[in-house]
Amino acid sequence: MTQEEGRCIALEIHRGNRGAVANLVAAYKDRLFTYAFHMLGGSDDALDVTQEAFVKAYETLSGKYDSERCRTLEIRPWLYRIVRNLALNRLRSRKRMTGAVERMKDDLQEQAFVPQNDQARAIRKALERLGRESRELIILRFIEQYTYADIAAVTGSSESALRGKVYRALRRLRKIMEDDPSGL
Amino acid sequence: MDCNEARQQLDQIRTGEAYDKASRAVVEHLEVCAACREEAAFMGHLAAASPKLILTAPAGLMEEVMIRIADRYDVIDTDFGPAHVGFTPKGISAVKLDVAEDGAFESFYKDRLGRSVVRGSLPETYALAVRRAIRGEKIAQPPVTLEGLTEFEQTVLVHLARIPSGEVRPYAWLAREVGRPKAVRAVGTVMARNPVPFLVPCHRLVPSTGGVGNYYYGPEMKWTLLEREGIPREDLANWKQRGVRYIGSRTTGIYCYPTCRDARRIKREHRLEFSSTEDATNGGCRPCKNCRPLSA
Repeated sequence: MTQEEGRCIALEIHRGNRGAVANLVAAYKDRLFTYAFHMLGGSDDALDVTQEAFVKAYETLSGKYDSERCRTLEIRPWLYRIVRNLALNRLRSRKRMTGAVERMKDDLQEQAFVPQNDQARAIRKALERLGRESRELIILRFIEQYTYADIAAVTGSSESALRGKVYRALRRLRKIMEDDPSGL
Repeated sequence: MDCNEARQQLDQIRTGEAYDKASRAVVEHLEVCAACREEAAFMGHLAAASPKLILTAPAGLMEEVMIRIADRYDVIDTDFGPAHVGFTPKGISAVKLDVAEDGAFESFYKDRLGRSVVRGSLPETYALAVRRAIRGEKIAQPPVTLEGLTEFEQTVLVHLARIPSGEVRPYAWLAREVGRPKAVRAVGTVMARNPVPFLVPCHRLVPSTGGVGNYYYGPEMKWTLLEREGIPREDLANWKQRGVRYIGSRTTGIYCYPTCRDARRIKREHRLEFSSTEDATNGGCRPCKNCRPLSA
């Protein structure tokens, strides 16, 4: 979806077109789900968060934003920000729950979504051992193929800070993968 | 150029996002530094393999989202009994008093607005707005949405909403206000089909000849609503009976609809009564700029 298409869709949703919501969901559901999945370390909360993000997007575009705001909205980083905030909220409330039950749930989930490719599986396993922030940066940069400017728009870090952060995330990821013989 | 510095830039050079003088130094550095070349190779591998990590969202996500963005309705108690109230994030979309069952409201909603509606919980502010409108209290900005109505309906209802609480206007007046002076009947139809009665005050539209005329929920409710807004029933009946359609002021030389707030503060001794605009003009009066009486 181009930036222009994104704006049209935002405006259509603002006007109350429910079909435009369906188009938005179709265009972004897999990517946003992937992002939520990795942000949450692979729990079934990812499905909830993705759904909630689309509902929130609909409510905001149709109820809160005026047409001018919708016309100038950069919908892609905006959607990622919604998912990000919802996921971070989940993580915070999850911290308060007992960890053991959650970890068990995560293990069960993993089997359901492991991609079929060996190399991809190795990256995914390594990602799980990465810290939350590093993992997010690797996802946005390499899976979603965001530019540094895009990542800055989603996470709120400056581009120059991101250069260092991405570099450090890569170094950690590489270390994890090299320590594991089934790596790249 | 040291390795630390070079590696922070490698990633953006890889994708071609950045290429400047500093980037050239990094490229030169790469030629002499094997460790950084390895780092670059790792990034390349990662970039090539990663897109395969995009997952497929579980089936049912789309359906779930579409259900959750559907319009909602709730049933609340009002002075006129239980009311079904439909709403969206934009505001109240429907108010209906005379449905006994949820199913009947759901099919009314689908027929009238073309969207399905599911049970939900009405925000307290919306419930309050409906109750207040029914009690005849003023609401500065009724929280309604006219989404799903025709353009004509929307125009008529937007103009209708500008009639102040405690005042009434003729159907023909609204037809003129929306720029369709001959569409008096069409305006009447819009009133009869108004999905958000009370909040958008179709009860404030009356026949040119006086009285209150028809109302979807019967004339008695219309009388009651207007009375609650401060228009005495006797006054309306009295004006109709005596054929008084306009009231003028001897001191200002201005004539108004009888319920116009400017007409109400004319003192008894200065008050003039007219049965037509010609009467008023002949009596030396000009039309009020607030209530804009129709000229014949």
